[in-house]
Amino acid sequence: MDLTSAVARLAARRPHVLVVEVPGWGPTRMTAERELRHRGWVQANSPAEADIMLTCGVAGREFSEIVDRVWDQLPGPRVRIGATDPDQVSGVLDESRRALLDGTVQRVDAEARTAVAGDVPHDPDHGDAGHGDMDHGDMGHEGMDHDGMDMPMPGGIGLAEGGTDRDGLDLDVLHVSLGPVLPHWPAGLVVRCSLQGDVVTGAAVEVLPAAGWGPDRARDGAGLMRGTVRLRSAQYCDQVAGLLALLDFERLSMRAIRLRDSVLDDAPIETVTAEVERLGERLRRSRVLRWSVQDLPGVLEGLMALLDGVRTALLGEIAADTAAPLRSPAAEAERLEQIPGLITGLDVAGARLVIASLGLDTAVVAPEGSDHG
Amino acid sequence: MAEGIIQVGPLGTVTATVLLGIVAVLAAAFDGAVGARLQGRRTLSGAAAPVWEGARLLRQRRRTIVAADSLLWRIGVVGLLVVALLKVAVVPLGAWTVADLSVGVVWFNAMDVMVWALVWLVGWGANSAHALIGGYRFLAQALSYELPLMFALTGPAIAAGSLRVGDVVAAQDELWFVVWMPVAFLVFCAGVVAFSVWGPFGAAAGKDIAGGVLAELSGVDRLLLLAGRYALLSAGAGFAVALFLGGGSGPFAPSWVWTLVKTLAVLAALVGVRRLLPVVRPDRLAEVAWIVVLPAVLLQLLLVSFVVVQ
Repeated sequence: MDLTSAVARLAARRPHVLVVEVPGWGPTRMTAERELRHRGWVQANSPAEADIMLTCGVAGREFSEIVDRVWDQLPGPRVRIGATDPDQVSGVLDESRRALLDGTVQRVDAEARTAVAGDVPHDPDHGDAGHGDMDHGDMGHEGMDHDGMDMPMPGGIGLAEGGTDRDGLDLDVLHVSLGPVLPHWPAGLVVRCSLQGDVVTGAAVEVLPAAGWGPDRARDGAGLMRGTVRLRSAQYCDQVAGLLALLDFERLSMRAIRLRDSVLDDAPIETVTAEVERLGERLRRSRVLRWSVQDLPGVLEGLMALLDGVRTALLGEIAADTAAPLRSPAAEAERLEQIPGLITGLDVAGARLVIASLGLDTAVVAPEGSDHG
Repeated sequence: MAEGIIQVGPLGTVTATVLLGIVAVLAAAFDGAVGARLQGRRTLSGAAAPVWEGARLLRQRRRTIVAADSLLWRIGVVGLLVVALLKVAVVPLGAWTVADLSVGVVWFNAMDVMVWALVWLVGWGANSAHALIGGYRFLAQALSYELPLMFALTGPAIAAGSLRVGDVVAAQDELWFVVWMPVAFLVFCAGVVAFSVWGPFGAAAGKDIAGGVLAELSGVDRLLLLAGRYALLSAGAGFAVALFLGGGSGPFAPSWVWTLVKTLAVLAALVGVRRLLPVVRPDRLAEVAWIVVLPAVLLQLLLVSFVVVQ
């Protein structure tokens, strides 16, 4: 017992946290990321890696169902927490660490999962039901039901159909959903792709809405203009950091994240604009960066535009002392509609960079149950 | 058998295994420390990361995935560590070596070709789209790095007139090969980073595909794969020392100390490169690898051949 708890204590020093952002709760997610960094915890890339799942915001019906399914993929010991306000983050993280260490809670959770898995009819070839986890990987199976039910279906999953690829050869088509739970990805966005190999041959876009307006939109209505301007600026900065993180350009993405946090901390405008200049200069000078995205039109320009947005959003604060206008839902919907055209023919890596360079703001999409929806 | 090289018994094999483990943990600790500094935390807290991560993964459960090819998946997971061990078998530590093969250089190359299959199996076995894309990416990347790596290995072998690693080390008595084969050395180091799925050549485990080949791994499986990556980096660094940096030669200290010191220095550089460069997408890499790197390494070989004939 002592050894078990000793290992548990060591393990809980550096838990991996899967952060799920609901459209409209960007500030909560940014606070969570900062809190994880200060504690030396790690942000998980996939559910399999995570010990803790943190949902920022209140998801709508469809989004919550997906989050439930993602939760099933956490291997355990596992803890599920949520925060709807930046101020709650630190508290729920402390609590989650305690729950992670609590042997009784974890044993009850594990036994409940095993019992559930035992009820599910199991393919005899893969029959170690004792493990309990019935994970379907990261694949979205919604797009995978076809008429040919007489096909062999390993584990109840239909085989991929054939199709003509871009060179006219016959190649399997796989239907895969990118998002909504994916690191450095616009909140709530789902891109249902048809893939041949790792090349996108078709795509449909959807945003899974929240159950209500997020706090940044709500505050806008309450007249907290100053906060909103800062948030806009921080959001641009966050998108710069996200794009650099996708390229795994860690030194620079970390600089962008620090800049983002200083914007949120009400750092003087001169300091922020000076750092924006320096970072911009660094990015322009980087030949590796230019070379690595050369074949993807618009990515570098998009990155520079996002970085410029950090500055102009803040300068708007000096000039008129009014909030930078939120993007209109119509404009944002139009940008979403462009995505399939932009990414068809690219591989997944290219598609992700292109989508990140658009700087989408999914928070303006109306929540479920609202009049606009 | 090469002059001055002693082949150790079973106990030596165990020592080599333990040593590889220690060096790999040091590499992980160094990476953790660099990461912590970058995030503005205390360096020491980052250096302890391998301990905490190890405990975390030992406590975490393994996963069973519907319709996963579990056997192949797990062969891939364990394989990287095994391959790293088999590589270290031909790397001399000072005067000792586990296996003094007459074809040691080819043996090392054969082992790194095994990595192709293993990383692909990890991507394939999980029955997950993200992991599968990671597998594709690794094969695409391997097409770019493998030939330059092979030719880079040939340089020291030609210069020494032998494929025995001990002979290659002995041939550097007067001048280390890195001095007149800098291109081959750099290409070899890049190859090591590439077969370890690390840093700029880590697209197969990229953040944009939720960790790629790592996406579905948890618990002890994940621990083995991460350990395997560090072990491959360590084995590669050790082999670079034997092939290009004069093995154990150096003043004052015994030769095994020099081998270790040089290995750790090369390893630190290989680990550190991760934070300096962005990840290179395999399709971008192919162009450079075939048009620039491959001819450059062939010119290097031509130069080496001229010198040897002279």
